[in-house]
Amino acid sequence: MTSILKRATALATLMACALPAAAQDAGNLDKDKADAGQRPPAYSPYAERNFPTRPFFGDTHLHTAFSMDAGAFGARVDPREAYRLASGEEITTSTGQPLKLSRPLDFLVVADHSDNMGFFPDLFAGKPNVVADPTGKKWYEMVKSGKGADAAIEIIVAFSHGTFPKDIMYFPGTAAYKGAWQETIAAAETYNKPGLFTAFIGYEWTSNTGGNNLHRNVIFRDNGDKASQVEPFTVYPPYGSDNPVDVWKWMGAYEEKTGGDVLAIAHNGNLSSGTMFPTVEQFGKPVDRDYAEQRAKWERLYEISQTKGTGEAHPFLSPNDEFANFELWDKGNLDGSIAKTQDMLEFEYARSAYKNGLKLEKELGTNPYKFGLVGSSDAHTGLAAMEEDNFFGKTVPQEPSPERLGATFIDNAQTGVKIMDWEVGASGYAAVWAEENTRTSLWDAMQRKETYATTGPRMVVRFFGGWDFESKDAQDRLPAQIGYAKGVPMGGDLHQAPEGKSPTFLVAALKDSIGANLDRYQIVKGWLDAEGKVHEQVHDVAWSGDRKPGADGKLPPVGDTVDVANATWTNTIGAPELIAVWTDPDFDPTQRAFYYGRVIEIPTPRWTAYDAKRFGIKALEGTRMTITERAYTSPIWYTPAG
Amino acid sequence: MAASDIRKWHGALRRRPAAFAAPARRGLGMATALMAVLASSQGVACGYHDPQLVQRGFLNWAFPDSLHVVGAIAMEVGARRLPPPDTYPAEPDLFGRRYRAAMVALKQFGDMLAPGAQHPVALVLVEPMLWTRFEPLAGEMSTRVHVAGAEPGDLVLVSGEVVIREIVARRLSLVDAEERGLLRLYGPREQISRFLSTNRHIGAATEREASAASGVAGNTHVRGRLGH
Repeated sequence: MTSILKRATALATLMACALPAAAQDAGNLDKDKADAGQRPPAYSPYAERNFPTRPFFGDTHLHTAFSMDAGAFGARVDPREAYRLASGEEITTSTGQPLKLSRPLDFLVVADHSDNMGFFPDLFAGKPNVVADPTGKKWYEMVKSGKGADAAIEIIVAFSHGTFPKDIMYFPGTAAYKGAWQETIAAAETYNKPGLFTAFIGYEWTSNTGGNNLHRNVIFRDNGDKASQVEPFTVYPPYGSDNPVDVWKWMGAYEEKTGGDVLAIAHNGNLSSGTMFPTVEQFGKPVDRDYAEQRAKWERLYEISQTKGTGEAHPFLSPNDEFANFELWDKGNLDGSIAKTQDMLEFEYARSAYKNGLKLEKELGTNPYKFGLVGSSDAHTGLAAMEEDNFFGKTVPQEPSPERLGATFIDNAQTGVKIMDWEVGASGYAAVWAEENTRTSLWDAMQRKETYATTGPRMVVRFFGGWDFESKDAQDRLPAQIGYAKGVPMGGDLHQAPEGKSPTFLVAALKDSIGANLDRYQIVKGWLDAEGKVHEQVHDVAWSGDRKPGADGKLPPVGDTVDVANATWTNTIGAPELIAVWTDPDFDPTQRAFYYGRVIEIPTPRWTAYDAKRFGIKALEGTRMTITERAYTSPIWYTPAG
Repeated sequence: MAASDIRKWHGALRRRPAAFAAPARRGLGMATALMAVLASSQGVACGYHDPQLVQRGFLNWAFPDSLHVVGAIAMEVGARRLPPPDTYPAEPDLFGRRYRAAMVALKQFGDMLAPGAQHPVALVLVEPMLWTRFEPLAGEMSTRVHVAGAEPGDLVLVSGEVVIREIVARRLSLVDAEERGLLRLYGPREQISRFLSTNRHIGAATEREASAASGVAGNTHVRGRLGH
């Protein structure tokens, strides 16, 4: 007895000592904290709300004069001016035209090419690292004295003969390159205004072997203190590589070295000759579990729409989708040196990659193509100006002028691949559902894929998936509250369907406040059946007016108010808002699936119509003069049990 | 773009008519070499391979803001103060029609220039990147179209085809063109000033406008030739 009593006493003492000192002194107890678990809901429905309440619009892919090719084609807008424009100021473009966006963007990534970054501006500015070298100084003085063309010839001859001064070579590890990268960082740091405008630090890794586009934009979550500890990964050996696997290794090394975070966004699978979304092998190595895991880890997003075509779907792959043939560039690879063949298409478009991703997940255990979606420009002008009535081209020669409606962009006589300037799209932007406009909040939202792509307009799009949405949820004026409470947002996952339930989706879209009405909200479903075959189906979920699907299940067109000659349209058709709850009618809980939203506007004038009207010229035969702008949400994936 | 592609591009250009198809030799060399740099650096990311446009892009660095002429022309065309350029649509100039038209206009422009300017002048038309030199020789302006580029000491003019055509048609004075940004000058300040004061009247529609431009009312102004 005595020993038990002693133990009990010891335990009581231990527990007494273990109790927080505050509990022993009631005078220090915080009543609010103590009562938090039992607090009744606040009167204000918005108090303590902890989900994103607005999308932030930006461009994750803009080139400035720091990019070798942009500079070579006459771009003089540098990163600082690019940020000024994006954040709402008026600037003068490289062709001397005043430009201001209709509204500021919320964020921008200046993603200049990592190879030879900063060469042109440094030379013409007489940067100290350039003029410190005797030859660099001579060239700079030639430029200043009006002999710039002569200097250019000397520079280029020196480069091609291998006599370019080593001290001003723009390769990683050189002072010159470091200077350009540090200026890129400094510009971002200057214009980054947390809460107002986010300037991300980033660059583009530009793998282009054989003219096949495998580019990735690398975006840092971090500030300059971390980003400046590294230099961008390039393509040329020995410093770089053209293999995406090596970019992922670089990203891993960066995170290990600095404790920071980076993600990569690929783009233009349509110009990759079928190599963007491999299923068997890439660069001579198999697409195995390690490849799938690395790709899924580092490439959380994909740029589905930009000036060089959209990459969602293709009519050859999706013959039943009447909206698949949209702003396509499907004639060849990036430089037109390889003409497109149909066998390439399956490995170039996002919807097809999503489908193949389901197959690879079953086979390898990881889905390498489980990416969210953004749009961005890839403009090489320093100008993130992607509105149809305010389109300043992809390159400086495509800044507004009477010529651009008739000029040629690519013309490869050997392959017959020809793309005209009018085929360049005024697209697009990235929309990110984040809690606040800061690097960390936006980047985290990108990492969790709570993003959508737009082809330029700023419609507001919600996409939630769950098991318990009801029709009446679409009548609620706080759909987001319901969406986050009862489901997952775009980019999320659903697992193991409850017995007897099918996934339900709460969808909502609001037109761009200065833009066109909406035609319809669709959900695109893809799934993997028991035989290992993939399927897709496009569902019209919400639409304007009282249209009814026909016998073929297709909704009649919304109509067209575009006056091409005057480049005008009216919002007398369509709807400003669409909201609905939809349940998958063909759900099989044993089958992997994905669902994503596609919102389509009513027809509006394309930039080509604005140009024809502005300059009083006739467009070439076959020029697209109208467009149905759209938004694409990141998917929600369903994974069955086991 | 591989070296083999650059060789193929050279070959393709040689097969095209000389007029407008092939940049001048020196410009060709520069553009070719620049393309080699771009290709070798894998900096060509956007399939944009037209060497003429590379030359034009480089103009914007060698002569800062020279491409503002493009924007100025675009805004004037948009305002209907200039007609649309003859280069639209950009079809191959298979029979040299546009080149011949440009050559005629450039020679006429050269005839309008006052040879007393003393310094040679090099003019580049931005659309085709066509260089022309105007050199005072034996009391007249000698015009050489389709030269390699500016020579050391030249006053450089940057403009567009439609601007030169309007000037020679006397629908646009040189001074107006300069003030509206349709023509930009590069060189020592004194050289620019002398050129403008000597040639400010050219392109003016009437003698009165010419006199007003020259600041001397009622005088018949010598236009471009000694002994006229």
